[in-house]
Amino acid sequence: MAEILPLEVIDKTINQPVWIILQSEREFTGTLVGFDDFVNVIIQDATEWTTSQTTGISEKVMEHHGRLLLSGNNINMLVPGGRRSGN
Amino acid sequence: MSERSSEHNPQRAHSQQQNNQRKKFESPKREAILDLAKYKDTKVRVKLMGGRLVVGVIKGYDQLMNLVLDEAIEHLKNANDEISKDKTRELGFTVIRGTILVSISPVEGSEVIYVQTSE
Amino acid sequence: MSTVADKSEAVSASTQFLSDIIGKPVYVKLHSGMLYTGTLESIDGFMNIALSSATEHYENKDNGLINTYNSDVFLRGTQVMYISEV
Repeated sequence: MAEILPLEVIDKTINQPVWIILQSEREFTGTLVGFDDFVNVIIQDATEWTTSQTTGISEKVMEHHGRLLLSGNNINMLVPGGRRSGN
Repeated sequence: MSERSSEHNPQRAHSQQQNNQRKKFESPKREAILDLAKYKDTKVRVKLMGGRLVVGVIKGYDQLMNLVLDEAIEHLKNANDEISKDKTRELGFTVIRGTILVSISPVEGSEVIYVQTSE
Repeated sequence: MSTVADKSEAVSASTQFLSDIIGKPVYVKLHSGMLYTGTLESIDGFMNIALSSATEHYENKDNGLINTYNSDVFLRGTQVMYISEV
């Protein structure tokens, strides 16, 4: 039976757009460069957002050029392919 | 993965056997108490630390309770910081971290019986 | 394709990144929203960070300067949200 393993899904997202949602209202989009066992994540050219948990409306906080190492501690969700249109 | 292989190391095997009965109750179990295999391809409601509520179809999982959900929908909160039923946003194919998972239950077979509304 | 199991044997992506950026200018943001810009003097596996000639802003550099530090600034790893190349 073909099992889909979560970490394999993340591994297949490397070099692809990713959308990462933290425990707080903060989100990141960019290209996934890599990750480690703790799911600390490295994103290329990340855009940092705050997204209201009541309206779902995002505001850009800043754009990063180069790589960004995001602590895995507060990551809630990783969405391969990047932000859904309409969000 | 490396943690598991150390379990089978022969030096530990003997003492483990002795304490097997006791350990069964004392130490945290390696295997999950819930077999997520039976929820594969079923729609579940997942609550996360920090209060997010996500509904989606389980496509995969691992021992650490990381989940792969498809057609995932996140329920947004209302002005009183309560999860609302109808305000949602679409996430799609999503990986959820097991470290922040609070609860998981199938959507079918449960129903809302009472919604508390603040005065 | 590298598998997940490969990663623990090879140098992990994050360890590689940390050694790449030592001595370079970086942004560090804490969970409080404080943003520090400075030269990365050192960093460990807990994401404890030492910066030199750091400046302090809230959320981004468009929000006014809060502080400048002439000597080192130490940031506790548990409070670090991210570290990014400038």
